[in-house]
Amino acid sequence: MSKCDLSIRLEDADRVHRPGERVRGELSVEVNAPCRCSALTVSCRWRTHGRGNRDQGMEDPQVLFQGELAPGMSQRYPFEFTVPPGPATYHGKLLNVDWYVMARADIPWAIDPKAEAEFLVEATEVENYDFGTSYAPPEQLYRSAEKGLGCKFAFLGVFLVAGGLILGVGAAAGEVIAVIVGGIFMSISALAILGLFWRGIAQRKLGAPEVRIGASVARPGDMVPVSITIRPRAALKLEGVTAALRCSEVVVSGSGTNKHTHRQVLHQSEAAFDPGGRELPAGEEVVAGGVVEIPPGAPPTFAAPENKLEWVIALRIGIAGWPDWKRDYPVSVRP
Amino acid sequence: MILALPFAHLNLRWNPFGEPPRGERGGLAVVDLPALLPGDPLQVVGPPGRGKTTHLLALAARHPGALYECVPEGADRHSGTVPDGAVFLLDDAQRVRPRILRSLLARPVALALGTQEDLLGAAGRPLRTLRAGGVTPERLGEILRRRVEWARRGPGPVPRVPPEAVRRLIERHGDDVRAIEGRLYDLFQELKEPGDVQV
Repeated sequence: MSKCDLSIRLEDADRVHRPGERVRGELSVEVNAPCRCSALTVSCRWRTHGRGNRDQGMEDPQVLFQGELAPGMSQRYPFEFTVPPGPATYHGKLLNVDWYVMARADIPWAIDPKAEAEFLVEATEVENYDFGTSYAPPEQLYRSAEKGLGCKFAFLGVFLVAGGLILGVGAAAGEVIAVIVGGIFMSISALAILGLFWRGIAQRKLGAPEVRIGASVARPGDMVPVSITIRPRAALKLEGVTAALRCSEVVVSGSGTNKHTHRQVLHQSEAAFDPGGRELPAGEEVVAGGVVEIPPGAPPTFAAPENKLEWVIALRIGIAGWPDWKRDYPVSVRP
Repeated sequence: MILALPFAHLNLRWNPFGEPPRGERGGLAVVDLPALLPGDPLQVVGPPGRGKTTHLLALAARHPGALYECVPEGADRHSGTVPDGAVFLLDDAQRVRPRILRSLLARPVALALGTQEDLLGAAGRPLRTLRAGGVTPERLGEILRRRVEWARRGPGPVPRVPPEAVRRLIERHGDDVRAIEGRLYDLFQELKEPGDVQV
């Protein structure tokens, strides 16, 4: 038996709260054995649950009591919190985000008694909506993706040169193992570099398409204008330009060798911006565009270290006899 | 969208077969734990999904203050300093370099290693070995029952995985408890009310 038992009662426990509203309740403490309580605290925070490892938001605990607790003592402490501006309660397939009032009695040299009670937070329009602890604005994600490509080339280049050196020195010294190791290093890095080139090969024919996403942050029901301007470096046959809107839950479970990433697509829709089927001469500018509709009732973007709900506009330019040009552009959906 | 408390229709607070927090996994484990003594290291060997981490976390729950560390991919050593006399639980220990492993084994710590490969050769000294894996219907039934109870919302009926469903899960997934939990996670997502779960 613990030194004391805690329980939480919320006023209107089933009520759906909006950011800015007050959550009120009472913490009851029933003492079973004499003890010193360093701090009896309540806090309010979100936490994820589901297929992934749990993430949680920051807490700002309120201290309700400090001092000696005597057996038979029964106390009630009222508390109240302002509902923060997100993230909203979300119940999906792999991912759930819920809000809790959590209470804890810090008792030295004993297991701390705890209690918690859930409450619901509606996704409503607020000025400074909180998307979660790992949220980065979409523009920042575009920049880091471009930077990441350069880093990958540099990293693989170092491996290629190192492999060449090992192979060269090994061959000169007649060391078979060094030649094999150097050869393996070189082959793997050369294949990886070729892979990166293959993904970017469409751009060599197309030039760098100029993409404009009308709004990187949108609300359910919004129409996001998207345009792609192409100025091919060489003549090509355009097979079509499409934009797909995809919403996925992405969660990570376990750690070490047990680590797994699970993905569940919740929404996918595609719009054809250009039907294609025509020849484009080199240097001719083509502008393809349209709107991508964020579906009404779309759940808001959420980003925590191990749990994400992400919205992406996936653009594809099809070129006859050539790999497609593909890029994903994250968008943030907010209530 | 109509919001309701999660899994309240099943008298649960969350899907019991979702990922439990590390701190609670030890308490959910149904394992026979060996004693852990300084100078008598233990290795828990087995393929993924057979309960190596569960054994280590259960040992952590039994020894308050025990240090648990999982060697991440790409690393070849543990990161923290281990004080003499500590209980140290090192997961994915097959990644640690033999030289570092041997120096760790020479320390006066109560050590348990979770590993996919037998480390007897790398250790260069005797190791007590516990093979993780193998599950009886009774043990699996208890593992699943504990998970459901862990997620219980209040008094009253909750979903139950009956013995015939337990047997069918073992037929299909063998002793891969992680795969069984994954299957049950999907089934619990679709349940409409408490009762016997059909597999």
